[in-house]
Amino acid sequence: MSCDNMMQMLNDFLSKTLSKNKEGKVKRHLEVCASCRSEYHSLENADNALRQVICEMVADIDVPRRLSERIEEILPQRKSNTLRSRLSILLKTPAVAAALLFMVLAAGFGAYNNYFNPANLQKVAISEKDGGKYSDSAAPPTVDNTGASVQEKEDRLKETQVTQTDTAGNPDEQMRKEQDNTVRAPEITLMGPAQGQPGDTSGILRGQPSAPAGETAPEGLNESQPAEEQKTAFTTFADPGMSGSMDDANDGTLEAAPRHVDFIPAKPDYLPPGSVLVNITRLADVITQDYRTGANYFTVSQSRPIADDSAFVKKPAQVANININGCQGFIEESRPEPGDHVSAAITTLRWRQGDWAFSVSGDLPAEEIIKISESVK
Amino acid sequence: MSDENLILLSQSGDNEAFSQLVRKYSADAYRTAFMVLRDRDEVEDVVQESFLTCYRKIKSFRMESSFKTWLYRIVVNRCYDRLRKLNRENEAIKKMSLYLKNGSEDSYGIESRLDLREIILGLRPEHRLVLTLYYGMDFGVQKVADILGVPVGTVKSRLNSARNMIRRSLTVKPL
Repeated sequence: MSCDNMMQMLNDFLSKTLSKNKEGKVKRHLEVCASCRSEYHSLENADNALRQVICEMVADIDVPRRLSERIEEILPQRKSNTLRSRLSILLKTPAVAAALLFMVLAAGFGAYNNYFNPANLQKVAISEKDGGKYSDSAAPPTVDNTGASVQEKEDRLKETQVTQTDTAGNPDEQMRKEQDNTVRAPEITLMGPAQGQPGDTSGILRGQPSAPAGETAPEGLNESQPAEEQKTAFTTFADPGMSGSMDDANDGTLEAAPRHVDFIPAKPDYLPPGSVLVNITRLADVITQDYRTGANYFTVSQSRPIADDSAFVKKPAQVANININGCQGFIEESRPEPGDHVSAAITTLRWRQGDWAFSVSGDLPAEEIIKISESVK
Repeated sequence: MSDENLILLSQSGDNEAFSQLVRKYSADAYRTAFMVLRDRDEVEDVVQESFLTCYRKIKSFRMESSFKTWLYRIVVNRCYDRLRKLNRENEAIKKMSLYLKNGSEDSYGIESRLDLREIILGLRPEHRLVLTLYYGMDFGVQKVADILGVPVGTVKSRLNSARNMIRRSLTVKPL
């Protein structure tokens, strides 16, 4: 590969749009060509700087606090069919289908075990004696499948013979046992090929293992989404009042953050009374924790600092210096302006601590913002 | 719950499912639009209108793309509509855009007094949008092209010019 067309290739290399084959060629060329290597590092630095600055700019944008609610308010109300639609969607979900199948099998297995429990074998013996009425649906393939040892098997057989003798001459008892088995029969038939009517439970259960066509649509869509897009879905709402989804709750934790960034976000040791963590958001390498304190809010952001101090913190006139845990920081108070959609002043405190850039911002009193900032370690 | 299931539920009339999509994506949609328009009222209008469009058309959404891509495409189109209507760019920004477009070598005065943020804010909105979607929202090149409705080559070209511009800036004023 010549150096002539490397410039475009290097850009594509950074944008990850090269084929594996060309990517390999670029890597091999960079290993042997110092000039192109230098060019690449220069471009890579620019790429990193752009990413950092853009991410900081995006993260610094204050989203109006009631944006979602205001959007929801303008949506026209439609006739909701929530319960039925949720059930039908859930049943199309492979994981739920698998869980239901497992429950059915487990229930069947439990019924099977219960049915061949020594205490119940008596009932089997009676029905077999009565012409084997239930033997087709209830007979086990092998006794070994129940997990019973050979000795247990022999014991059960002996017990069966004994109980068969004991009850054979008692027609009332025999009828009662038969009625018991009649009640039990539907539990066991769920394991076999379902023949239920549309809408009944056995029909729903039957549909799950044999409905791959219905499951392929969501699966295919998942595959069509690029990895980077799925990473961004880390934006979550951990407040059960805002979202009860298990997926959200599981993913929107500080502990889950390292799956998306290469660090565990620091959290403040001090929280004003009544504070609740409601949201954790990731934008590239910036992790933002949103807290609510009654009607107030504050956010804690953490990221790798960019190298340029002047870009790290812009210093307009109203910004004052402040010391946070021995580190130089800047505190700024912005008064609301018409159209800001906020009524309170926003205090923002930024500082750099070790290898990290932090910011705490919110409409709490400045003293509280400082106290929270000092507790972030 | 996955986006696909939320969409299926929304399509069957479940308003709470659509609300979950709103809560999941409204903040990032707002940030993206703000990077282009830089006006809070306009941005909120754009985001509200975009979700309203999604809501009205959700039944015809065939999931040929992800909901996120679809939403961002609507947001971007609304932003462009606003830009065309308002023509808000001032003369200074126009001059900056011209400079960046032509790659003027007479850069000392500009680069010495502007930090990277100001350079980015001086870019033409459609260039800033590419950078926001690619760097800020983690979309890949192909997805950015899908959202903007432009060829992949256009996205790559805008990324390349931005890198080269920043590289020149770093040469003058190292980070």
